[in-house]
Amino acid sequence: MNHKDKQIQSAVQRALGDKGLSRRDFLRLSGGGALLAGAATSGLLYPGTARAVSTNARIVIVGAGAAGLSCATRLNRELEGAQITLIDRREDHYYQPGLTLVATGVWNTAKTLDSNRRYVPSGVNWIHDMVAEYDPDNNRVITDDGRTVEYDYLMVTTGLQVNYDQVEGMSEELIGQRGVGCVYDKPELAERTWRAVDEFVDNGGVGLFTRPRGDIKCAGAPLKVTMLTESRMKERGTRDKAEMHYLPPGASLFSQPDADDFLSKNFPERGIQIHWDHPLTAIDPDAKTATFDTPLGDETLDYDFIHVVPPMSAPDSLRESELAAQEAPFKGWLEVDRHTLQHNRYANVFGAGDINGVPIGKTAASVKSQVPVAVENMIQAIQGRENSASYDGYTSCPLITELGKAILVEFDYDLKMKPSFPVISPYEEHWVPWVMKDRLLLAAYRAMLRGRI
Amino acid sequence: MAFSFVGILAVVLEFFRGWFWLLIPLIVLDLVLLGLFFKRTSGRRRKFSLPFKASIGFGVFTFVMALITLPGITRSSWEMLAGAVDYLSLIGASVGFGVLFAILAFPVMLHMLGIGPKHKPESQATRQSPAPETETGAEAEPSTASQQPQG
Repeated sequence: MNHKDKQIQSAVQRALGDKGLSRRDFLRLSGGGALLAGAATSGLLYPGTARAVSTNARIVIVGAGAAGLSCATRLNRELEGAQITLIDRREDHYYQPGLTLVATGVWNTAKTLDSNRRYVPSGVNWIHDMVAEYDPDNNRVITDDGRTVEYDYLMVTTGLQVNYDQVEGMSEELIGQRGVGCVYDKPELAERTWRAVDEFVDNGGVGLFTRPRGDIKCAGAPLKVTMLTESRMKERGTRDKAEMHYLPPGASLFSQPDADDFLSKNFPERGIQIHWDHPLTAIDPDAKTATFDTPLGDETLDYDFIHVVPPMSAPDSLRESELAAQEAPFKGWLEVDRHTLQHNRYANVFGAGDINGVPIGKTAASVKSQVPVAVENMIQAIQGRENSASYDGYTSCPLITELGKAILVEFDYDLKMKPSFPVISPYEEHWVPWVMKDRLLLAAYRAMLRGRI
Repeated sequence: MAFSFVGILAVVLEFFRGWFWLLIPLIVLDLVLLGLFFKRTSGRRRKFSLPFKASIGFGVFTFVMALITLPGITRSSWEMLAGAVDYLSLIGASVGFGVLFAILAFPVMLHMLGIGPKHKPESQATRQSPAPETETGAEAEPSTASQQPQG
């Protein structure tokens, strides 16, 4: 060490001494900082391999949607030696929470399009097929192509299906034509819906906004489409040209009572008439009429624009299988314990996402909360331990009330508000939740797919 | 639902992932500029105060611009802001942009404003009287007095 080095060393030690730090403290802090920086830049950017549990279990995940990919990433990371198989034919991945923004002209479709391949972890066997039959008694599933895939543990993450044919006269092809819109399912349909909404916003007339009976994914979407359409009209100065009607199937607009109170007052204030107990049963696109099954009998209304939300269900293959609940209230959905997300009759079967027969929560936010629980409990089952992880029913809806502001509604099975950020009131409209919806939630969603949150 | 620190970091990284194509070259460019600055100023005086102040000025300008335009950029408007949360978030985000742009601008400012005159040869320097103290000794210009021959 030359004289200059010695001078530097003594200067550093003096500086550290002034701060009350020893050389060892400094090295420890530097090491911590380096580790933190390393974790931030490498571990967070790329899924890690901190495998904790060694097993040779065969795990099958059915469905490569948000829940399926997230489960695949987490299981692949946390299990050493497991044979993980993902079954889904779809190559495209849709960011479905963004479809309301596409259907109201805020986003273009490209923003919601992604590829499953980007998120399927290496080491996971991806079978490009769909499950046609579940055989839980023999621990196997059979695909469309007739392939039999056996498993020791099954994770069901199929999502749900939209049943257009349950509204008489309605079909997927109609969307975007003759004043028919439907925000759900695919970016292409949401884009076509925007064409119909855009025309209605310009020309006005009678707008009907419907909601079906039963569970649907993102139950806030029909409300958001209604409010954003109205907001677009105000923006273009055409609000006076339109008559807007919201027709829920029951006597409430939203499952969370505070949000329901807000909406029940807000809709009439902005001139949106509410027609309680009006589930849609049929449309006649040529005559532009819609028929509703009301307590007083069928009622037919004319429209210039109609937002049709068809009934939804578990995919047929699951609904007709032994895995489906046989009785109400969740008949046809995957029969899981609402807290452990383990199947009630088949202990080696778990579920996450829209497919689960649980009271609320067919949202991406629910997926974010359900996946860690389902994965952890499956791993504990593999280890022969009791399930300890519990899902409290958390779900969230950034309820967009106008272009540029929203209410961040988060709640659980008890329908109590559970704000993630207590400074953001779940009872008032703010700009911040709008920015979250418009700019940040897609990033959160992708972090979820990578198993990071 | 609580977000952990690592969770928030993961979301932030995902948010910027789409901008890596721009951010990474910018950061590399800044580092190269910094390296070049130190190379170019070998044997010269380095002035940090003025580039620092200029970068701060640039950051303040960005902050003000962000404050004015962010609601519009987010497809909203000032009318939609309600309550302390919205205003504090807007200010916080604007400060963030201001700091980011100030940091990115600093290496450029160093090149534009931070290169001082060459050091005098040691033999000449020993004949000079010490330069008067200034805010930053490194950028002290030789005073008239220091240019007078001593003795």
